[in-house]
Amino acid sequence: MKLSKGEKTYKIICFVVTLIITISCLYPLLYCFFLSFATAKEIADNGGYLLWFPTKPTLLAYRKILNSDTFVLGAIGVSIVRTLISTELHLTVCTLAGYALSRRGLPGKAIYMRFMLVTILFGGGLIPSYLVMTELGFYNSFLVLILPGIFSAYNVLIFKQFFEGIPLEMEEAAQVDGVNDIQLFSRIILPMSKPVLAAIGLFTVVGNWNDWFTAFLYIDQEHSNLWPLQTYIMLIFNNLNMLINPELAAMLDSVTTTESVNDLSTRMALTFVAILPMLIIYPFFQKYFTKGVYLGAVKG
Amino acid sequence: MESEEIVLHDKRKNGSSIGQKILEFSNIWSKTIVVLFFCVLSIVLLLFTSFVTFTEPRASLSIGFNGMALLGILFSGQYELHYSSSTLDFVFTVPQFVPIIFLVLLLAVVCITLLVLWFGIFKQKDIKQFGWPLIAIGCIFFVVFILFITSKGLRAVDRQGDELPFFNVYDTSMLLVLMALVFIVLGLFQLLLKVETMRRVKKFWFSYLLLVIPTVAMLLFNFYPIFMQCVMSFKDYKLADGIWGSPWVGMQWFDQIFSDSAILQVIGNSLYLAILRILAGMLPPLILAIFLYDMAFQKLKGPFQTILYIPHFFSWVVIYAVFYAFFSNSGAINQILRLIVGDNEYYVDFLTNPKNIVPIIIISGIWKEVGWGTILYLAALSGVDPTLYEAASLDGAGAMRKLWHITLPGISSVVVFLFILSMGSVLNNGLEQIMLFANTVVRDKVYTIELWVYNQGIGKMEYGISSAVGFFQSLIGLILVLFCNWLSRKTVDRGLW
Repeated sequence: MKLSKGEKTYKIICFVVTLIITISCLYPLLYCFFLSFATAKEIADNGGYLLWFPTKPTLLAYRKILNSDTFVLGAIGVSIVRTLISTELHLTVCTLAGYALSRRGLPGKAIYMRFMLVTILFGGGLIPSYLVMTELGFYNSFLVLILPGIFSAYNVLIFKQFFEGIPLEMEEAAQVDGVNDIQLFSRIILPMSKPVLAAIGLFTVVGNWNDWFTAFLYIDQEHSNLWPLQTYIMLIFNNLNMLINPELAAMLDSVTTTESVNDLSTRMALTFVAILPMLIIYPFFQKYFTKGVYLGAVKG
Repeated sequence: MESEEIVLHDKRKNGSSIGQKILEFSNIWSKTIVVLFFCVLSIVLLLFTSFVTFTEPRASLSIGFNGMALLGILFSGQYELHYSSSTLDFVFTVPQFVPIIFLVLLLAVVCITLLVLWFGIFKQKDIKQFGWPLIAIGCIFFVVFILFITSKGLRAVDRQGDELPFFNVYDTSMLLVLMALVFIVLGLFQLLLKVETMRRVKKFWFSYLLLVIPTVAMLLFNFYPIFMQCVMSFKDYKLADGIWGSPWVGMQWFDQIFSDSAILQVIGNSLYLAILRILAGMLPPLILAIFLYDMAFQKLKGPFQTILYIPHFFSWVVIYAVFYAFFSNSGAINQILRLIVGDNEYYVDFLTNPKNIVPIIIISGIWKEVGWGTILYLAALSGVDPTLYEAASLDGAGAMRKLWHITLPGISSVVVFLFILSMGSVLNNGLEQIMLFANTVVRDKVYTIELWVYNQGIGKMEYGISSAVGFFQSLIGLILVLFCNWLSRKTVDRGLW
């Protein structure tokens, strides 16, 4: 098919605009990356900003924040442990529930689904949830970072939808071979559901890694050793003045103020540490997550 | 279906006759046994756990009465009780109606237990006819509970000898609600379930086992807060008094919401910001998706998409950090502006100027989600029939006409669907982004419902009104979603469920 001249220009314009948007998505991240390696001197010489990778890169900022005296290593540990445990639990609970609800002819299925729909459409709101968590004894406990997210009606519906799409013949064939329910699930259904597991797993990992608010809400400053990395970064960037505990404020402040590197560099180094795991896992899951989005959109 | 019957038939033939009888037996019994189990459990709980508790907050004293104690009081006629400890020594009177009501409840449960036992076990009948009595007993439990915790007519005498409403002197056990629920569920279970279905229930035991943990999690983390919110919105909740000890206030909070101009302002802010957010969440991804679809060098589409999706995976903290690096007073943009203007002190106040906060919030939202938002549009675009474009080209249509007459109509149903659905969240702005970007200087402009609830509820511990506002928000959200879903089904024949 031969393109007319106008059409060619249109396609080129489209390309240029898309290119600009893509660059504007990528460049800020690179900028943060560059800054985190720069020395204070180079930034100052450059007039306070840095558009390209520093000519004399330094790891001082990273050394400073990953120093064993600081909170950062501990916070990374909390983030990793929390993300791994809660993703694992979430996937287990939601796949099993989705599997149970995908069984044909399960009595009471319609009622159960309706109850799940209620939880999607109507939330308990911030204050009641806060009081419930406090009542359950989750305040200042590591459990608050894990248990409340263990079940999501939305993801159960996605799993159910997917399992229902698996041909009945496969299950029947397996049952003829004398496979029981547990084996059917672990040997046949699960291996077939890799894409949806990967997609939901990725979203859960991202959600858990990025979550700072739960810790901010339910874990007070006396128990700051339970805070994940994101909560610390939030306080460093935004609200140092809202810290009541002066020791903690001083500690957070000391991390970002150094002599040889700009405090912006240490902050950016911290930010970069926080996004690095996402950047690492993202390419492995990329082919799956669009599938997850479709599944979620087709029937929620 | 037919093959299944044959298999069943074969099993019957081969199975031993005794085993077969046990199977038949247990099928009829299964419902009876479930009901009996809960009835007996209820009797035991009623008798041996605390039914009401005498509380005296000033002396931090509480004396629980279980069923045995109440029966003892009723039959001995000794309503005046002596209490003595190392620090306190006094006499108090148990209100007469408490043991009497308890006896009525207990007798009702015992009667139904015996009836079920007789008909179910000895006469081997399907005990369906007990459905309504069970529901009635559940309702009586519930009414008694509500009376005990709200009625001002029921009086009791406290330690000082003052006559007060019952609920001020006694705490009623949540056991009553639990039992009310159990009996109502049992009743429904009797009414709706056929013996035939019970057979199927047994076949699916493994599935039910799998649903135990999700159900518990759903009840604890979803339904319990929803229930709390519905109750708290009509109560003056105080932490010390607990949810049942706090007094009811009727519609007071809602009257306050609609008469307080500050709260109305907050609702207005939310509405304004959310409408902007919906537009910003719809249009830029739509345009970007069309550009991606139409652009030259289609080989680059994949890599572009990969990059465009990245910001979606970052938390608002990281987005704020990036914006801080660019837009703070010493950030990159201002440094460059200083060079251009030539004045070393010059800067544009992006992050701490009330005028700029709304655009900054919208732009940060676009930056985070623009790539991600294209996924659904691109999926819709890939469903457009490519032969249409070829035919249009043959007819001499230009790029704009193809866009207008083929591309847009092709995805219009998705666009309408997404738009209608997003109208459901017209009061929600999310708390995280606002909390990060709204520093004290700019807060008034973006003081949304979520932030207000957070500040009043968590900050000032005004639980009553803040949960009422939350309730209002959830309710409007629910109504809007239901309406929009209906509208979406009507117009583009697509719905959420």
